[in-house]
Amino acid sequence: MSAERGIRRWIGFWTGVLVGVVCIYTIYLVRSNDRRQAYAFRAMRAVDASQIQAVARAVFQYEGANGQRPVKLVDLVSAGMLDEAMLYGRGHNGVTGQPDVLYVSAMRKDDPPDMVVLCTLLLPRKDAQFLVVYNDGSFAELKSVDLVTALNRTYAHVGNDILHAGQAGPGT
Amino acid sequence: MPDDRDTQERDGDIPPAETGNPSGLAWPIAKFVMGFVGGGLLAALNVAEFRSHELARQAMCLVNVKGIVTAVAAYANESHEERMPPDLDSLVREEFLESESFVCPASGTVPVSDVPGNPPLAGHCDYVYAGPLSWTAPQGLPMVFELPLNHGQRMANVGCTDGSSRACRDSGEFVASVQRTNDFIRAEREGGR
Repeated sequence: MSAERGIRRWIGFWTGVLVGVVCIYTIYLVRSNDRRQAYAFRAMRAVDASQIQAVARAVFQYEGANGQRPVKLVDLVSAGMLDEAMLYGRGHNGVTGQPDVLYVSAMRKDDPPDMVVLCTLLLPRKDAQFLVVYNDGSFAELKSVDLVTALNRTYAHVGNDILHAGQAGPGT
Repeated sequence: MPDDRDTQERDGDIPPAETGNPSGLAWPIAKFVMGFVGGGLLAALNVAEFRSHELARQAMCLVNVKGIVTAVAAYANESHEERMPPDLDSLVREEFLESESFVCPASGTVPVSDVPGNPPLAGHCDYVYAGPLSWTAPQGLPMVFELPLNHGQRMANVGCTDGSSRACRDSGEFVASVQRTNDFIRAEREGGR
C-alpha cells in the first residue's frame, strides 16, 4: 500500500526524467543531422560499378588510340570517348568539378596487373564496398583495408620507379 | 494517525480550489521539473561523453598522420640520400615508428603488433602513403591520407609534403587534393621517361 503511494507520489518526477532524456536526445539527433561533427555514417556521392567500368574502357580505348593514357579523365570527354555523366555519381549538381572517381594517371600499360588505375574513395551506402579497376582492366569491390593495401602497393611501385629513374631527391 | 486529507494534500492529489491552497500543484510540478532537469542532464552528459570519445579518436588519428609525415622526413634526413622511404614498412623496420601508429583509432583495424608472426603492415594499416615523392612536390600536396570511412565519412586526416597535417571535412576537396597528388606523380614519371 505504502509502495503504491510512493510510486504515485514520485510519478511526476519520473515522468520528468523521461521527458528530459527524450528531449535532449531529440535535440541532439536533430542538430547532428546538420552538423559536420556528427558521427553517424554519412552517405556520399560515388560512381557505381557500371560507371567506373565505362570509364576504364574509355581509358584503355584512349590508350589504344593515343599510345598513352589520358592526363585527366575529362580528356576522355573532350576526346568523345566518354559521356561526362559517367564521371559523376548520382546527385551530381551539374556543375563540372572533380570527378567522383580517383584516377592514378601515372600508371602505364607495362606496370604490374594488380596496380590500381581507378577507384572510389567514398561510399554511397554503409553496406557498399570500394570499387577498383586494376591495370589489367579487371574490376573488384574491396573493403577499406584492402583498398588501402592496394593503393599503397600502387604508389610504392610508381614512386620507386621514379626514384630509380633518378628523378627524385633534391640532389637530382 | 495523520489525517487522510493532509496526506492527499501533501501528495498533490487535491486541487487548490478544494484545499484552499493556491499552490497545491506546486509540489507535483516541482517534482516534474526536478525530474526533467535531472534526466536532461544525464542525457546531455551521455551525449557529451560520446562526442568527446569520437573527437579524441579524430585527434589521435591526426597525431598518427602527423607522426608518419614527421617520420618520413626523419627517414630522409638520416642517411638515405634525402629520399623518402619506399613504403611504410620501412618506417617500422628501421624503427622510426611503432606499428600502432599506422592504425586509426576509429577504424577497428588490428595493429601488426597484436598479430603473431610479425607480418608486414599490409592489411594492418589505415593510411595510404602516396610516396616516395620528390621533394620538389608543391607545398600542401597530400602525401599521407586515410579513407573518410574511418570517421563515418565526416572527415579524413591528411598529411602533406610541407610537414603539415590537417583534417579535411569536405569530401570534394579531399578527393580533388588526392587527385592533385596523382597528377604530380604522373608529371614526375613523365619527366623520367
